[in-house]
Amino acid sequence: MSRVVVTGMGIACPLGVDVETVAAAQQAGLSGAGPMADAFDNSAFEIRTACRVPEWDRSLLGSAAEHFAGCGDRKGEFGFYAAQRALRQAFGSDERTRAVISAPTTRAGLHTASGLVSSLVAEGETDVLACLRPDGSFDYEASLAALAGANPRRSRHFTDRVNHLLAWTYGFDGPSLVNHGACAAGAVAIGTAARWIRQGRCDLAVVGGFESMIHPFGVLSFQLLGALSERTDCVHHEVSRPFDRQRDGFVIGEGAGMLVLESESFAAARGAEVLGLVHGLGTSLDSYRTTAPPPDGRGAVVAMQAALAEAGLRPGDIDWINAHGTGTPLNDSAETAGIRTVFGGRGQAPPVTSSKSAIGHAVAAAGAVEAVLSLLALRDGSLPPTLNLHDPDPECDLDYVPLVARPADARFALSNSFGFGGVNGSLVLGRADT
Amino acid sequence: MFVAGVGVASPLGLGWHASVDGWLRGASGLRPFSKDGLELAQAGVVPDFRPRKQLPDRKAVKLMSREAQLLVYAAVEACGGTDPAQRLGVDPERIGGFAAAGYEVTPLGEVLDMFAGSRDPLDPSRLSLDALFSTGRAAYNPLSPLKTLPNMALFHAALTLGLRGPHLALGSSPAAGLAALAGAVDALDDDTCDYAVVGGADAQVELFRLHYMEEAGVVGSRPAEGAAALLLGDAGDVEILAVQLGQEPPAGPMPGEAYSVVSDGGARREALYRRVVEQAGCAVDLVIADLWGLPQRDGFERRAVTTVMPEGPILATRPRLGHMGAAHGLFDVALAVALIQRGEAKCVLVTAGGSAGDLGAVVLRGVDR
Repeated sequence: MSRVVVTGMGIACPLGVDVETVAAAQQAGLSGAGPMADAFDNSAFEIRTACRVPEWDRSLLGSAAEHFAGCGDRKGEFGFYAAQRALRQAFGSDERTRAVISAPTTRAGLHTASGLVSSLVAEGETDVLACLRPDGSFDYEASLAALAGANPRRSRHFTDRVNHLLAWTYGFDGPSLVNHGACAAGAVAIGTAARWIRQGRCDLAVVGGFESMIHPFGVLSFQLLGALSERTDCVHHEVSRPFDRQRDGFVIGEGAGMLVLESESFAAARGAEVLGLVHGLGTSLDSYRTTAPPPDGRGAVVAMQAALAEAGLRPGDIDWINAHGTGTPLNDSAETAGIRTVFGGRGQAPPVTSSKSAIGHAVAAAGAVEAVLSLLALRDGSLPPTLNLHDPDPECDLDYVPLVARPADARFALSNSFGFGGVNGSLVLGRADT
Repeated sequence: MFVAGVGVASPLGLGWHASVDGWLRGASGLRPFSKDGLELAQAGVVPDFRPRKQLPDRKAVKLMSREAQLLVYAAVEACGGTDPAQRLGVDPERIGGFAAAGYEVTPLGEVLDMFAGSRDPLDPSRLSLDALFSTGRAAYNPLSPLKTLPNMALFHAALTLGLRGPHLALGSSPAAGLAALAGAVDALDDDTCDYAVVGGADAQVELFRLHYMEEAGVVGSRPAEGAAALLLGDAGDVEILAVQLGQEPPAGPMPGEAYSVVSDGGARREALYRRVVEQAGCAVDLVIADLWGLPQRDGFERRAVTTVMPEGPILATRPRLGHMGAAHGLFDVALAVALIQRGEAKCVLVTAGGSAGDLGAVVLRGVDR
């Protein structure tokens, strides 16, 4: 069974929109948090902080930008951009990418993770408000008229749009899936596609996730679920506090992370540089509650153990864990309990980092963005810090690499992603020499 | 890999046997539809579906979207009850859940009151963020976001059945049900689980979804709702011989264009069907095909199918059920299982395609006794 190597990485996240900038920022312990007001007028809303992709410019997509014009599909733009960057790193240019992917002997797949599409304000005005009678009831006749005209914004509701555009642009012909596994979706998309390659369903795949819910309806939904930090007594970059006693919820993030995966033999045959490996995926269902994990982290335990089994590794082989680490009271204690069950307590378990302390929670893209960050940390020989961890929760008693990065000869990382609905995914990633 | 149980909720009937019986007697599930001012000449709605009476946990019904309710019904039927781990004598952590469900467009009913409460008092054609975060928020049912999270159908099915094994939650493409099936087959092959519940569910009979379907060019089929689920394991009288997934080359940059136009005349479809039949290693004597009532697309499909089955019946279910979105591919598989069990066919190819040009194909065969 072939091993699966990473030959391209692309990212758009609150720390930047190119891999090296992001790698440097994560090691420097920078935060991508800023005012929510940069996204919309939130003067009547309690949530003050968000982690946005800085100075995003659609023109970064090059000629593909025209396909997103007028759509308001920010997350799709992130996704296509990150995939484009990953493909260029793997193959050198768009022309060479097309030549490899569309070759008759190549089977190339797509597995991307995308979240729920929430309405834009402008879309709500044209498609809903225009159809409301003064008393608030809905007028179907009016709605048929309002919806009759073409509107490029509606295309954003197809979550397979990025897959479609990648297939149109580069000629993919293998499996093509959109993963809707909530906050575990990015990790599961990567690990599932790695299995395709091991099992011969395809030779290579573009995998990852993209998400943007930093708009009024998106953040309102998360607030109603009680998931967001409402902290206002500190500066923005101190709001996200995973594993801290004073944590009170996550900071909403956004972005995309994309990888090019290839079978080791396919990559070797074309002389590709190996950036890392995907060794295993474990998934599980909590079957517990919609928005809360079981306190003992049992579902996380099953996912982590399954990932180790697929990778053929023992707990002691894992050098570092990139935690789900949202900063919600329930997640962080349950995840810690799960890590203790699999790896042992402090002194036995490997160091643990929450990237969300710096970049917030990118929801469906989180696992993919954090997979890129994990591969960069392994490459750079330095474990990124968990920011803002000044007052550790007694229930969170592991080594969380607080505040500053730590040099480490780490070979294998475990990256956790858990989602609402009790979906869990754990990825085992390896340094290029593993 | 064997089919150990099947569950269906379709416009032809509530339950697998009711749906199959309806199919075999030539019934149509399409009827005029009228609700809340939405008038449709024909739509496929699951008849006699009363979730509060027919689902195991009536209190949980209000937490579920229509898709989730349909999927739970089908999944419970496929598993023969709500506790498959006990019935099968396996650890619940060894039973996986793999599902495709349609969610791209939030059902209007979930957000209407919030929008009404968010109008600008001075200009009701505009949204006011001040109003959204006050009266709009007050009118927004906190349960609504949970209903519309994209993996909630799988969550409710898993919670009802006590599934704790591996999972895959996929989008609303009609081919996604077969992709979920492929994920389950791979998980069983890898020994990641001992049993897998595979499902697809969709509810297309809703104003906004209808509109997006139309915008995507799905004009050849009537809108429908439904769910289908399979329990896969190591024993059963129908075997899944092969599942293959692929991608057609879109003719343009927008997803809907794949419904009617691909740039290769169906060549990749043909190659995929050859590959899945070759892997299966049996002579196909029936195809339940990815036919939509779209002339060019259907032409490609028929030509591709005849390369693997030059003669023999080709069934199309959409003319009598409508388009069940993410449920459709697995409904066709459920029908194939029934036809094999009743001796109507020995080796069946089921095909499905989606809006992004994604393709799936599965071959099933009856087990000789």
